[in-house]
Amino acid sequence: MKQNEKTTRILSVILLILSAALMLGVKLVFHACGAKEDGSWMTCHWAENAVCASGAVMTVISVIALCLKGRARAGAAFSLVPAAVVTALLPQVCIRMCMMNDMRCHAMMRPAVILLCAVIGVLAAVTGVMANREEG
Amino acid sequence: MRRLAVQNLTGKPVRTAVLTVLAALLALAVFGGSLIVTSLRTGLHSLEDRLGADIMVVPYEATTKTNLEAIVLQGATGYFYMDNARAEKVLAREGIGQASEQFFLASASTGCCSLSVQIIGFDPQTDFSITPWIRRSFGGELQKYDVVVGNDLNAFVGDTLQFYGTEVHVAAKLAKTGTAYDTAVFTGEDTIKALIASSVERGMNQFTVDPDKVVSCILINAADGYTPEEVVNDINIHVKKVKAIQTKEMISGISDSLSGVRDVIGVLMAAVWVLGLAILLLAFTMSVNERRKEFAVLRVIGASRGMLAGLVLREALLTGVCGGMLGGVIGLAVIVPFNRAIEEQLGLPFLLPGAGTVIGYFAAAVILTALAGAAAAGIAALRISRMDTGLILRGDN
Amino acid sequence: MLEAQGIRKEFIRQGKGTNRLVAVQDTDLTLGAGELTVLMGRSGSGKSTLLNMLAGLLAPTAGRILLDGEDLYAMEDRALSRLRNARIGVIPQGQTALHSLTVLENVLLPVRMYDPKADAAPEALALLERLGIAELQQDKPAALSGGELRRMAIARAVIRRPQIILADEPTGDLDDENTAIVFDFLRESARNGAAVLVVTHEGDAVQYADRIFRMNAGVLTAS
Repeated sequence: MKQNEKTTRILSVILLILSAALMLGVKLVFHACGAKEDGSWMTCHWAENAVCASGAVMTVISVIALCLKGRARAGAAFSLVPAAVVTALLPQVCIRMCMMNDMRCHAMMRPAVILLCAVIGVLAAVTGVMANREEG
Repeated sequence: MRRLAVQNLTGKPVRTAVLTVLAALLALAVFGGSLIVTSLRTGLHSLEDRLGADIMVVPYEATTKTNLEAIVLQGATGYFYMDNARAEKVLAREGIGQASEQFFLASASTGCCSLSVQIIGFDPQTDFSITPWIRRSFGGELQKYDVVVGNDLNAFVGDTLQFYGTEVHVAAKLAKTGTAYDTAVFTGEDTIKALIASSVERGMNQFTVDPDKVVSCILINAADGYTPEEVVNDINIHVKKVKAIQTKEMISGISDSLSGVRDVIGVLMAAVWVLGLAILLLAFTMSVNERRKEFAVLRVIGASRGMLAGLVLREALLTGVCGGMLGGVIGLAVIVPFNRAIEEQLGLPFLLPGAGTVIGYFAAAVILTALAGAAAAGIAALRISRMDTGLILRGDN
Repeated sequence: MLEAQGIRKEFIRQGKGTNRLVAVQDTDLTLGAGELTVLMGRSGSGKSTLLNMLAGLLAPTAGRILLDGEDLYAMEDRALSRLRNARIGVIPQGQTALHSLTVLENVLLPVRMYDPKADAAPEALALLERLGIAELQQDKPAALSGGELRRMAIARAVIRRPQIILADEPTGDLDDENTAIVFDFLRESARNGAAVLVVTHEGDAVQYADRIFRMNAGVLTAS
């Protein structure tokens, strides 16, 4: 069981890194389209902000998962799964994005967000199941 | 013996992880490389299909100020017009088979999230290039104020769009082509004339034209017995202020870049493979040398030479299959979601092949990587099966 | 049972000229069922070479080795390997554990090699018990001491109840207690009907032996 605790701890660290990558990356790396010439923002900018906020929440949950053990860690990890699903749906489904799909928000931000959220969701589920089997 | 191969691999997790990652790299190179090259080729075919005509005739200024090629190939927006009288002169020339007129307009980039969109109107009576394409996703007739949108436009069937204050209704969304046409809007002649009229009324059109008296572009297929080249030359010599362009020549620039990209990808793939195979060869040989004593022990307890070779090959195959799958999955996770970003980067038509082809490439990449692993381990397997057990045990002390 | 007829082994030395080293001179030797034979001699005298030839692991330069009348080195590698697996138990020199397997898996490997479904665990456990390392069965070899590893190798060599047991320095670098355990065990195997050959330079071996040979510079003499 000690081995198991070690594995879920490592998984929690990975979840933390990925959540932080989502929160920061959506602003810095795979950000949405920039401001228009007149300085106004297109809607994808608000999707970007929403993903960033959601990523911040997921980062906090990951920290909590890392600090806890056993069932408590499992609970925190499981709560990341719906959070990841919702975050993946923010761009375009919840907040409709720009007119053309070859624009940056469609070509870079959305796939990157979906990919990260998919990995986080699957890893979180695995972490939850494994941590749930731990004693205590 | 079968489990022994697995246990040998899990017993040395770091070594196994490194070799698996290396195998994943090989698979990623061959899978990603071939998928990108195929997508470019599919994109080029798709572009040829979409242009759908031998010749395009445009007003002369369309080759200087507002570039036709930029609109058709790079997805820029623009419009230009020539008088009906001039169009009649073109259509009166010899050697013209099918011909159809098109009307261009670009929407203004007003509103929250719209960039300027290219609007292309066609004459449903004569059209031969756009209708067959629309037929694939829309069976009905286009009514006035109905439009069909390209696949990359963030608009859906039933949506209402506004161009120059005129509302139009999205009747269909086209299949993806991987070309600049994916971000265009198509509509019938009567609708686009109404849109051009409103743009002129609002003073937002850079030309002051009567939409009933102009066309933007004429698509022509050469008649039997004439080559497109002859027709192009004839028009360019005899009709003033227009330019006839052979579509094949327009595309030739793209197919040149495509073969350039293909060469670069080919060289990269070859480099990754040569390096990867060399490292795998070295790693397997070293790993077997390190374990000579263990193999000798297996001989002592009754393993045949063939079984030792099989053990080494099985370890390599397992590594290759796992690494190959990993590389393939990474390739899929990067290329499929980010295919639009790749298209933007390359600036070439890019259309992913169908799911069946992608799965085929995936399987081929995994099999090729597994075989490469087995081949790299082959020399080690041969050596270990030929070793003299007695000498290894004797040489121990 | 196992009969060596005029076997001889030459090695060609690396280096200048065609310098042949005769490791084992023409030798006749018969190992009978139920007998424990001890072969003594200095290191380098050719004892291990003789043992490896008897085990079917090293082809002699001349002569034949017959097991129940069948010439070992006239057989295909596959058939010879199978025969060695079933009928000859070899305890090699030095450390011979497979490091990716547990102690129990090491011992069971000869059984599973040709019959993956065979369940010989109870027998293996009884052997480990008899040799005093039963509590180590789930450990990896890296956790074992030299004496424990040697006892594991012995269990592995006899798990298939071979008719012939060939032990090469089975008590080298072992303490007195371990040495006694090993010799007792080999003696018992002979009593149960196996033909046992022990190559050693341990003087204590004499008290367990039915027959004693000495080897000197490749020449075998009875004593």
